Amino acid sequence: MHLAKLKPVNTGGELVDIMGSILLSGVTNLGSEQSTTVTLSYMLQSLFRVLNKYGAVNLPGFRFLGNRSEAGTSTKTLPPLARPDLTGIISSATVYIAEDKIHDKFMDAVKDLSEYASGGLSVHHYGDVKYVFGHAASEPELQFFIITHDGKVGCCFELIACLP
Amino acid sequence: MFVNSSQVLRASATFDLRFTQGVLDAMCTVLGMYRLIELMLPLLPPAENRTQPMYVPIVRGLSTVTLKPWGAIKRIANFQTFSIENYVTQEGLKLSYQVAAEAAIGNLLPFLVTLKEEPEVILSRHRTCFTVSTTPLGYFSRPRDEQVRLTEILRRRILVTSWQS
Repeated sequence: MHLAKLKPVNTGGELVDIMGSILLSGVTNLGSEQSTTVTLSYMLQSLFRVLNKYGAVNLPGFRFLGNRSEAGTSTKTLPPLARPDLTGIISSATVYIAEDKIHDKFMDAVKDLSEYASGGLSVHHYGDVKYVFGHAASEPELQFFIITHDGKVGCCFELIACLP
Repeated sequence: MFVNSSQVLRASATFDLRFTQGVLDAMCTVLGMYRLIELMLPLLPPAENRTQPMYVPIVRGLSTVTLKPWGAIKRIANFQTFSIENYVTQEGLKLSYQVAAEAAIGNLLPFLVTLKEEPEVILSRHRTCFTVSTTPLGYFSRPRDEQVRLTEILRRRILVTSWQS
């Protein structure tokens, strides 16, 4: 069904510019937790924006929200582990949860992501949705996960491989 | 193939962002996720039934509420100012949660928000921070059997007794 929708589009060089900037310089600024979050959110937001603008499949209103309370501010309005580093939201539902850590702390990022996922997906918020997405990152590693409705964290390759 | 923090080695290979190939593979995965998110959208419940996305803080004056999968975290960062503006005390708030918990024990008002654990009070030089973790609003888990129900009642009674003491 989705393949039938596909057709060549003229992006005016925007897609090439964005992919080129991500590939050449977008991921060299990793190291601290905040710079990892900023860099990866730039990558995700750029790709989602281009796909939304030119793609056959549209996600109107999708947005990524960063966690400003962990970005060095002193407001302390939230306790630790109250909020992931990056959340992707569409239609008042959080469908993407990301946790980043400093250099070589990948296992800690996965542990925190598991912590966020531990309550599962409530029927009240998600209905029949069986999983949402997320990533754990720590320079230089990045891994994408799915968070299932019962709160487990698994890899998402089998799902993506099933796409037509 | 599911993993948790202790089984992460069973997960698929990670992308190494130092190399162009790793970045390109990550971007291809993002494209796949984009399409899967579009497929899952029709499965979401109607938007008017959902109040707020998870993990996005709702700021109400001096208090902040964040919905989590298991309930909500409510935090009042400056309790002194909050108590002056709203005429409440810490004891008053604890008492109201206690009344809600007692109502839930008796099955009188099972849909009231109750505490999952005792309130956390952090004292600093300038202000007092008051944090509670609550059950989800409107959520009521029907016990699977009598033993589970009795265990839950016992747990709540212990919680209430510890506050009273």
